[in-house]
Amino acid sequence: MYRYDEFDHRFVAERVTQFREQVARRLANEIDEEAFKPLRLMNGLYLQLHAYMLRVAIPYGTLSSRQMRALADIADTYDKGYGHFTTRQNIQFNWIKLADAPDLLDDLAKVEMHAIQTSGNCIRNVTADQFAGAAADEIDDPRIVSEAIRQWSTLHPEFSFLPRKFKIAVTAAPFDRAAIKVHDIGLRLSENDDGERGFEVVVGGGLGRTPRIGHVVRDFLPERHLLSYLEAILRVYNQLGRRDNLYKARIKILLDESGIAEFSRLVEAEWAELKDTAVDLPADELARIAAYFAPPAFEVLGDDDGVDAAARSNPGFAQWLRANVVRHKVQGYAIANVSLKPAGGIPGDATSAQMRAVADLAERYSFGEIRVAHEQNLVLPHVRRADLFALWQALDAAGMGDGNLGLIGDIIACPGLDYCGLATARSIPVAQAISERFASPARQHEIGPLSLNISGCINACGHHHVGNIGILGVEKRGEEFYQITLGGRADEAAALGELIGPALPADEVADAIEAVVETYLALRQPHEPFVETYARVGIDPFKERLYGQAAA
Amino acid sequence: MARQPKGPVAITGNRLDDGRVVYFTGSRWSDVASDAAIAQPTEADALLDRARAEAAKVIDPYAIEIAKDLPSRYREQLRAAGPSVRLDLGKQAGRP
Repeated sequence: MYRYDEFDHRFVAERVTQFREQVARRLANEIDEEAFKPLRLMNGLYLQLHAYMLRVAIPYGTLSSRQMRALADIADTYDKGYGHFTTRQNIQFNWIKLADAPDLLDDLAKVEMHAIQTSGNCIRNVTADQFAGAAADEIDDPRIVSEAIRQWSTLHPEFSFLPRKFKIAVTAAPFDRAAIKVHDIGLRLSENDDGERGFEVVVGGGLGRTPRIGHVVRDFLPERHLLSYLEAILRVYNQLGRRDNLYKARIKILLDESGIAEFSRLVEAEWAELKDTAVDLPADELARIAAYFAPPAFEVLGDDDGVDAAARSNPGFAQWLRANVVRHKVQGYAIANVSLKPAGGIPGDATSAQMRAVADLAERYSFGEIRVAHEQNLVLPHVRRADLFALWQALDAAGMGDGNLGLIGDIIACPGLDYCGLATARSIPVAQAISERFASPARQHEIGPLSLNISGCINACGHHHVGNIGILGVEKRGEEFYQITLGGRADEAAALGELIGPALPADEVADAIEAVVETYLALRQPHEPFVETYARVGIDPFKERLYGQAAA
Repeated sequence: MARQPKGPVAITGNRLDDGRVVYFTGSRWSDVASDAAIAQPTEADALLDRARAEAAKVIDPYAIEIAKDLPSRYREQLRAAGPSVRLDLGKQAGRP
């Protein structure tokens, strides 16, 4: 895991001290809200419906057991005993008092964490494949370059006032688990035929009110030039991105307006000036960072792990094994996903007791490492297969044993109008109604892979555009209504969902989802996942089922 | 206000120190919705002005429409109660 150097420690400590003084002046009314708001947002503190919310950065979704325990302590000391893991691999606390925020940030700094650049028009916390360092299909650990990007982008003086926020995601595997095509910049590390490494650079993806799948602006950027190339992209965006209209300020709109060819030309011209300057990391610095991500001391293990026998006698474990356990790059190990999606639960919420349980289990079974997935689940990346059954039993006892990863119960949902000041409708109750409707694990497994994503407003924090089934809450005549889209996906074949018809009232949504699923089950070919059946048959059969013959 | 409200209004905002939802009583701020002063549409602006003058410890006061003693919009009903998915939290829980 990456450790702060002296500079990081000093900088974060100084920032907390500054913020403490700013908070004191605000509470004494020496500065007004207009002056103070940008200062608190720079430190991750938002005002939501019921209270202040603090968004804590979890760089590339990696946490140690020690950090997870600190988050649990923060939940108990400053909040109401729980936190919410977000679609950007971060955690949010919902009930923070302004006067407590500096002490909270001090506690975070003790475990090398902060809330800087979790808000504002800057380069936000970089996200990465949650299976980094463990995935059997990766070229290298994507966190190495993610950490380089984190260092480069943190307080980058030129990019502190961009036209709008800017999100970068990284994967080093052909199968995209980091949704790189719906980020401002998505990076995929690959290896060419000569064994050289480079990045596919995808620019201009994003969700929100103008959803876009990103464009490849470079097929193969030599690895060593990454930072100079990123700097060139950001420079073009910073100069030409629109500042006159909040809704047209993201880089995706710049690409829309300039065209990909012209945008690429501008970037290449900028890069020509930058690529042989000091922006790129020297190889020894990259090696220094890489050393922090050296694999843990894996043992040489055989095949005799007892997992199959345990699965035969325990259907709950068998379901968990099938859905939540992923192949590891090292023989005898597995990646264990921890579902934060119990039937009827709040997607992504974890109590302080659950956080401590995961911290303990990570220490016992996964070298003290935890990941946060953008699907709002947790991951223990390095578990001996022989320990899987014991791990599952402990998770199950803590209410985290659901074997529903990637199934319909594994719903992504933003906080929606139950918490969020921007939301137009609630998300969580809709997620709860659907996960209760499909509570049977056997039925979820029968339905098979299916992503269902819910957002409570057009800003799309719940990634509804790229859910196989997407749900968007809107306000219509003073009531909550929900639009349903089908066919979206967030992986390497990323696609935006298609609107199926007029929005439905809240109490009809679960029925409608069930009708969509039943339609799929009737039409699917053997082993055909929902999204492929949809691609084959199109929207009409679903439309007809939901809205009748006339609509299709 | 940006537009003339159709019905009676109350004034709300969030308390500076903890962000909690508060309502203007006509002279002070209360975290109990039923303490709110209710103004007829023609007096809404005057009430908001008075609230703003007393808003040293309250962030961004604004007017909300009230119908049958409840905020008209469901957003404001959620603010007045707390998260509908955590009845143990927020004002509805009956503790601060």
